[in-house]
Amino acid sequence: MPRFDATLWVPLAAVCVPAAVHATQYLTVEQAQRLLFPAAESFAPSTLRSGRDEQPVWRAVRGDAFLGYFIVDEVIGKHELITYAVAIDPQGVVRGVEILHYRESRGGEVRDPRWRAQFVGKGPADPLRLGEDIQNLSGATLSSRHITDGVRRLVALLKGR
Amino acid sequence: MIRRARPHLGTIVGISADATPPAVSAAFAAIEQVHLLMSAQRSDSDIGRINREAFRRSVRVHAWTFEVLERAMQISERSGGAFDIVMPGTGAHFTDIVLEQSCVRLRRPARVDVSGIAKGFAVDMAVGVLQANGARAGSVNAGGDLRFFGDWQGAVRVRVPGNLGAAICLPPSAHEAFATSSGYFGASLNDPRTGACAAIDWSVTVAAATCLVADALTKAVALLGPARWLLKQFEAAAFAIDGDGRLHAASG
Repeated sequence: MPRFDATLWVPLAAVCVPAAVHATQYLTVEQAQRLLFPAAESFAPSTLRSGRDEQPVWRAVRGDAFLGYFIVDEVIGKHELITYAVAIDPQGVVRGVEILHYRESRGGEVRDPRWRAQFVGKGPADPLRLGEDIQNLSGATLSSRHITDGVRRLVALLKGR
Repeated sequence: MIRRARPHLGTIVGISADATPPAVSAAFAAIEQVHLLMSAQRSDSDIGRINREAFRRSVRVHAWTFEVLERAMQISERSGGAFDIVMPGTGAHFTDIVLEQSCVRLRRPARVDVSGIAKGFAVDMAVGVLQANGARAGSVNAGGDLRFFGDWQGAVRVRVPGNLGAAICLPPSAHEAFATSSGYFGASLNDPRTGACAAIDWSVTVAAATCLVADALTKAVALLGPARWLLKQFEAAAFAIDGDGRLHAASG
């Protein structure tokens, strides 16, 4: 396997910037509701209980018709904290997943409750600067595995009802 | 400007664009279709069917899959096999893939995996769909594959391997597509020519005209180093960040 051979390359002066903790707000809860259930007239808050697990959900409704569940959940990854929304139809089938909020960490601090506490009450007012947004970050770091696991948990929760 | 992100292709795909909401939804639909067609994990995908059946009979595939296979073979040929969508282990190589009129055949049992190129293709398709739907400018990012279009501007940052708290800004570039490969999370790289596998402690970023090319070339450059004969054929540039966080460059 190739070791890095600097003699093959031209050295460049690099501007090293701290990968500062930053956040991207993609959608508000209301925007995600409209995207995932465009036909819904209202979203009624409700709670699903399974054992000790309590999950707040919205029931998407149009007239008398129940269209499905809209759930907002949060997953904490190794390097990021992600708030996402999932739409699950009455048959328990996932109809869509949207990221609402993505917050990148500098490493270990996601496990620190104090670090996590800073997200409480954070909203769309987070500054967005081009070049600091994850949109412009090349590097295979964004794992969706935690979201997949989270969605699986929610689907199982609905099945257990 | 619209900003949305969805989990696809095993990563989080983000789209920022000066576009209408239906245009962004259509771009995500294209990315999802690439995943459904080309995921090696799905037995019902084109790639799943190729791996199961193409040794015994010719397998008809979607035009997009055919295009990705064609481009993959071309890059394999031009890189002397440093990039290869046939996984090591069976002794088969890209030369064992036969493409004929939207059908695929394998000369010997082999495991094909286009994940090293399909993500780039998906980003390119998404950009095409956005533009076809009237988007003037924007960017699509699929965790490691990044493409701009229109007069979208912004510095591209690449994480420093071994120090995820730091990133390095690449110098301004005329290219619109970027892809990065590295051992950020203990990922390792296979040498398709020998089957050898090892971790790399540096990262390589390739800038090219399309994400498909950039994506494929990162793997070849990680193995060959910044081979100018290779970069030149694709009018590409390469950047490396070593384990000490120093930036290096090369072009065709």
